[in-house]
Amino acid sequence: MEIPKLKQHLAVVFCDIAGTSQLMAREGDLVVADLLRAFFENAGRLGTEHHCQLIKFIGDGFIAAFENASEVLPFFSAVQNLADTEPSIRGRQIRFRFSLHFGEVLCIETSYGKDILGDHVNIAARLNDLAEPGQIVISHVALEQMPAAQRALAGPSETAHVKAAGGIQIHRLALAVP
Amino acid sequence: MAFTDTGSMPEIVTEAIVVIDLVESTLTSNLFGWYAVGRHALRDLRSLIGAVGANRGLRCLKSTGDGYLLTFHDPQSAEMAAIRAVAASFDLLDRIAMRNREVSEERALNLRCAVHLGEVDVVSDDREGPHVSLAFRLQEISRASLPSALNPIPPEQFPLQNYVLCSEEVAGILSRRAAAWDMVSVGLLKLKGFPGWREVFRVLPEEHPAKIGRV
Repeated sequence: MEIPKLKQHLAVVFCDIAGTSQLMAREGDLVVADLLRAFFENAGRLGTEHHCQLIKFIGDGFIAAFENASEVLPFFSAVQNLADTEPSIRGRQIRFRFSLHFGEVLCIETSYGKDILGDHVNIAARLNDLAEPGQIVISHVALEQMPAAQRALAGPSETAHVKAAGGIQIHRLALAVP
Repeated sequence: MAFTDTGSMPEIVTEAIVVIDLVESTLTSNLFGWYAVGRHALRDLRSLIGAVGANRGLRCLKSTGDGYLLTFHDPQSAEMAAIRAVAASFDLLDRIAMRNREVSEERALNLRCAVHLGEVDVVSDDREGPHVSLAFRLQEISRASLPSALNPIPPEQFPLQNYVLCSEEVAGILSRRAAAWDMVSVGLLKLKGFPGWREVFRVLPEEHPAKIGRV
């Protein structure tokens, strides 16, 4: 069966939970399983509320894609707020690492659901490795897609070496800790 | 008996690490018997590994129960050790394919191989360290891992058995120094216990249809 493919310019975001390994060591795998269940459920709901095109959960994080980059920061804030509002997550010293990149990706329907492919997906993932807990790493390309009020929140430009992509201009933005 | 490790620190060397898993070995042993089939399969595998590794710097050959942990060493060039490890893996797959044509179906050997390069602690006839763990994580990657990967190949293009996977480090060496093989990215994966994303590659044998594009 031919799988329909569609190239689209999308904001590709990553979120990774920092601190689950320590939490597992401290409180056990059942606590972490409960936390992840609540996290996935709520992140999926928030994705829908913020018009996310796709959300795919991977390990203790997710990849998501947005047509409109202006939706991303409010979405990140809403996810970050889960650390304060969601009973399974609250008080467990959980922080999130976020990254955002913008570029052309291939949207496909696979045997396991919707997915996005392309070099820009890898770049967004590698940017996530650069983020500190509670921080968003945004590529300059993505920053240019954001409204002025959101751009003003970002830190100064710095060059990061990203595997297979070389030097990339990035900005850091700290999310308010709830 | 108490085991203590109060002696001198182990020797640290850079070696190519190969993890070989015998596909469905437990099932085969349970169905056809360990003494009748299982132990012969493992012994044949061990003997074939010895043969393909003999002139390629095979330094450690350690049973993992349903497979083997191997390391290859080259005193002149660690990168050459990685190339020899890949060559040995394909030689092993060729010999196994030949053997499989001559034995009954239940005695057939099918393998999953993963190759990585890194510093390891030499502990007796064994190896320790995070690079060894990473090689095991690579070997555990299967079709079922792909939905959790970024930029994955379609699951149906991931072979079930008799293939060689390698880490980014080994793929980099092969692309620079070994024209015989091509690599196909399987996708970016998170490997348990290791931070960040890691691109995993399948090494294609010299004559392979998948070398033409991403089929």
